[in-house]
Amino acid sequence: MNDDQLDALLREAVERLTPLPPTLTPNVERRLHTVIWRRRVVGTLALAASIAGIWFASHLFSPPTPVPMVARVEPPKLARPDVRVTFPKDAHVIAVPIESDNPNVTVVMVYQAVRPTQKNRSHQ
Amino acid sequence: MAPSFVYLPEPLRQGRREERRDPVHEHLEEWVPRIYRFALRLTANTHVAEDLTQETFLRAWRQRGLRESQSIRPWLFKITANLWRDRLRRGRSPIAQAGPLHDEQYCRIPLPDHLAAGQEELAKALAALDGLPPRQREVMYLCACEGMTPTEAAEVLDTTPDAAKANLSLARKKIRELLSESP
Repeated sequence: MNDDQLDALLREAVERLTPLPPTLTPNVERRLHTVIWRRRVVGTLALAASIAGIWFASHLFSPPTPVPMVARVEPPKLARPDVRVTFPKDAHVIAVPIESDNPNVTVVMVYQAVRPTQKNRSHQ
Repeated sequence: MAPSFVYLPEPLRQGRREERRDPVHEHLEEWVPRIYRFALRLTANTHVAEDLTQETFLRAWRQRGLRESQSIRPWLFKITANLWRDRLRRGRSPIAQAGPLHDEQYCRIPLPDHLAAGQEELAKALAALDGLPPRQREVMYLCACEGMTPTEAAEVLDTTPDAAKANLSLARKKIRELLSESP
């Protein structure tokens, strides 16, 4: 019997006379799938944690967004036009000018003056 | 997936096999029996061999994910051998050092079933292989049954190619003697 024949005989003997436990392959497969599943869960959690970490870091340590500066422009004060209100001589009114916000508006409060009666005039 | 404790008849198992064609399952179908047989030659105990086989695939998966088919053979066998060496070193295994196979299923004496089935020669050959000293048995198994060269077997078993060649030569001589001795 040469080497090749001996090897073939041994190979056949091992294959035919070494029974494989029927649960071995399913057991190995189940344990592998457990490992695969666990690795996937850990990977997903790690990914979620890193995304959350990056998000927190970017929001926590980033400088506050500057509030845009708005320049307040004061409207130029316009020169108030000189308004002259005249009343007739016998109008007997009292005119009181009142300050107005609008330069184009001039407010003058006009009150009727009390006219002196004849009697009062004689006393004077 | 079917519970592991349910034994499916062969036609059903084939049906299941066709249903799920994932690469892991295909790898396992091909490699589990081979690794188990090698583990059995290393440990000389069916329970320890089963455990070692499972550990081998778990470690292989953690290292590479069982995706690479190239060079998977020496790599898987090497993992098995390393795991077994680690166990021996730590004294974890109930068997301190595997001698000739003594498990009841793999006794050197040919079982009556084998003889009855007209497999005397095969049974004698297996008994002769399992009766070898551990290192000779391992080298012989890897070279004869797995078709490795003595150099590849030496790499798996962490020994020198010369030592592997010497062990192989001794193993062949001894098996021939045992086969020619028996009536």
